[in-house]
Amino acid sequence: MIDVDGLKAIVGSDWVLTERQQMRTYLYDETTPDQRLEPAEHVVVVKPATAEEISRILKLANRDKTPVYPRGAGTGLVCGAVPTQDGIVISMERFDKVEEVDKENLMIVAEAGVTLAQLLEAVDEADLLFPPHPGDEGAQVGGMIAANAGGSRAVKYGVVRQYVKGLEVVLPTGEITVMGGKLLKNNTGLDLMQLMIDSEGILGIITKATMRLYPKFAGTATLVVSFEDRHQAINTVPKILQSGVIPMAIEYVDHDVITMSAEHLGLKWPADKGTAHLILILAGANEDDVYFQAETMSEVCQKGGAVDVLIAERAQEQADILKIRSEIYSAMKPIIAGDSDITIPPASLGKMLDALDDIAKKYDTKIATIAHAGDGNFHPYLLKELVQRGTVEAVKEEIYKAAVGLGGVVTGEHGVGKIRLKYLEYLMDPKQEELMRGIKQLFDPNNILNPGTAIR
Amino acid sequence: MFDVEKLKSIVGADWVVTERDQMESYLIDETYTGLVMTPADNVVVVKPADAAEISRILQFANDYAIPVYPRGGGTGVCAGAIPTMDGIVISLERLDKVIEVDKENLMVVAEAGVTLAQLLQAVEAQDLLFPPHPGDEGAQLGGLVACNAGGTRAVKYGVVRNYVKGLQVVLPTGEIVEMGGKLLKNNTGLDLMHLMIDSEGILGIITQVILRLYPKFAGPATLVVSFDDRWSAIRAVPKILQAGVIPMAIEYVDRDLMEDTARYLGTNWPATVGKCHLIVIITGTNEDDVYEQCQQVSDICEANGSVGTLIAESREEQAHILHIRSEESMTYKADLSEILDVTVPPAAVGEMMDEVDKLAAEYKTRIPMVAHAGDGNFHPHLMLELKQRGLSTEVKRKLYAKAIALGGVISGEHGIGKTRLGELDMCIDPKSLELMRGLKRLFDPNGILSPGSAIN
Repeated sequence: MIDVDGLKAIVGSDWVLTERQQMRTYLYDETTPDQRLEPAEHVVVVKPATAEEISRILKLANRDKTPVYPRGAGTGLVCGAVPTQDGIVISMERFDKVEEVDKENLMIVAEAGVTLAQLLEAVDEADLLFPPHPGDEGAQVGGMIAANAGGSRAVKYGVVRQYVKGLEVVLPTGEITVMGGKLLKNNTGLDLMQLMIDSEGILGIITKATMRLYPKFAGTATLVVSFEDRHQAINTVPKILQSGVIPMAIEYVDHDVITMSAEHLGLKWPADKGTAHLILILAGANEDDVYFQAETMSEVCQKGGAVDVLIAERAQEQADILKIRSEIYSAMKPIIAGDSDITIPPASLGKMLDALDDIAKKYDTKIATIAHAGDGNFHPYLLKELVQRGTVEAVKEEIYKAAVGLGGVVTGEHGVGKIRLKYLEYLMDPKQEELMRGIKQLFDPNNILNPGTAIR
Repeated sequence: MFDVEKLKSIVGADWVVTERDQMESYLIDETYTGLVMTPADNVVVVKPADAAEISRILQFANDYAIPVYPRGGGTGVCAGAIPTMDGIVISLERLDKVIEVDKENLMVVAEAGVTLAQLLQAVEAQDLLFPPHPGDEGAQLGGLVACNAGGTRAVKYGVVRNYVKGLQVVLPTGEIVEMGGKLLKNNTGLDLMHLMIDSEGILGIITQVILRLYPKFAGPATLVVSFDDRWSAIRAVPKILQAGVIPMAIEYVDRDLMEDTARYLGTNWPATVGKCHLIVIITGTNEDDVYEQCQQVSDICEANGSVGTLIAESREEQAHILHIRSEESMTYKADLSEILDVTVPPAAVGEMMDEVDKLAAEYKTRIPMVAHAGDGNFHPHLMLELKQRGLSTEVKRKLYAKAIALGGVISGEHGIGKTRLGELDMCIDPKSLELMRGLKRLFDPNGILSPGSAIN
């Protein structure tokens, strides 16, 4: 049994939930209903205020061998935060302070429960920029780091990993450690901080993060480029990357998918031509620079067969385009059985799209697709009809095999969580899995922290 | 002594060196005079041709518990490659092929023994760019990755870690494993690849690397901006970054040091005014953009008290400036005990430098220094006479204590090697050290690989 009184003594009885009906929202994440796992029956939710309280909770859990599930905003798509065994959910919601936006060092120090929306606002107020945009702005900083979030604006400066410079972590055994700092270079000993990034909450609970910021670019523009044929759109992406202009984002969307998201939000998608679009977000040191980049992009896309290029320069227009793009998943969620997160070398984008077409044909379905195309990261959506026909698993496996055959992986940004464990065998040799298990055991000898996640 | 015949049977008799006088150059690295360590008496140097041979050597070494020292270009400065116990040096020099410069994916695949010079040449031949320049071009790729090299051109796109996308590694227990690939996003399981980066050869021997490349940018142009006082120069650095200009490099140098170096090299330092300089390397999307950014930097520096700006645009002029900058440590080589590698938050560089000056005055010595100012990483030089007076450890520890108090670390890019082990506990807590030791044991249960490096 879970020591509820012990937990109340640590965090105060106001911050412990034991009634099932009060904890519904803490038991699931954003995984589609067809893929999601059911939470265990006996779960207690605690809401600590400090790293010290978390440390004490973890010591209690080690004493009783109680599983502990750290929880950010629950925006994950792979059941990483779902408590599948009786245990304690630690919600990070009270770690909600942006401690400092440091303009001199171009760094932000924030507690783990700060949301992406809060972070973006604080950074914007200081006239600075946090380039990546991993989708749902409700996501929390700790979760973004534990899951090494990617998203749409990773082409120029990379995924969340590249921004993380310092962490405060409560280890599974309860020690509070600080890794890194406001540092751009740090080669002291083995890099535990890098190991913590993308550890999906199995090696420690992140309580605070220091992340690198960038200056706000003087000029930005968002291009929506339309193509009649999705292959033309996708095949243009490697040409863009080779052109010398590095956009912040190169997104691929099916026209009918993005219009569905716009409708869902009550907004209008600006492009009405074509069946497929590339969305390019450009940033430069000044207006002329961005204008030049937009010209170059426009030429490259026209060579690739584009039928229309829209340029959005006003901040609101650009924000709407990004918002429509970011909300695709919530618009699609009711009609899809599952999504995948394959990543392949960017030059193989065209081949992957061919493979998706072949698979769709073979299984007589439609595979709606969006892609962080500049990163080679595809999100093919599988429709609910496949569940009814009992072929969803077969389709998924074919997609994974095609990706792995092209030198890719089954997850580029969403992670393994609890629902992709069985696919690890497609790309992980037994020795590396053994090392990962060894690392888990080293950090968490009683296997209390987020058991059954990320590794087998 | 161990069975040399066995080694010969693995790599061929021609590739095993047992005579001391033939292996002198394999027993040392570029560690500074005041720190140099004596190699052990009984060392055998082997030169395997591929990962499979390395695997067999490691299995043999495990069977007989023989220490193994992987060796790249020997350009390290912390004795990382020096075989301090009787054992086997594995030179990677025959793994010297650039396997592929992939223009479509903007990646290079190369064996670990390829030198930085070779890499830069291969990349340049394809009209692409590998941005970082960690100094000595004789360094090998395996070493660059194992040490997470930094250097001067890390401000815009980061240190070597940010470029590494895939590795082939022979684990200490002999398994040959592949990590990552030509992928820009990859969240599959715990990230062993990022643990391998900066592991200083204690967790595995890197045999092949996949690195991200960039299109060639317009420029570069190099600015030498002169200031009459250090604080004006240092204060200009965040102003440049905040303005939205992100140079490839922002270096701080004292003019007298550059003039001494130029004299030593038999040439002239081009700037004739000011006490110190910022050297700023600018690239952009086109010539106009580069020009515009140069103008911005020059204006910002002027507003912050600069007394002159030189802009070098021709290749020769720029190479001349960088050559003098990169040779500075040679100037005092004979009188030099060691060069430190402290890293602090970029905005604290000025305060750190004042502390260095204060210590120099207090200990009646000279401590010249250069700084990768944009990264907060700098290199105070301790003179041999200080060591002869028995004071260099005391000065070093005071300097480290100040760096740590400012939120910094004792090594930003050179690593710990064997020469900084004594001070590691100044910035790493006991629990983290315990975890690092546990990782070492997990990967290398017999402790054969580069023992006594990076962690203690």
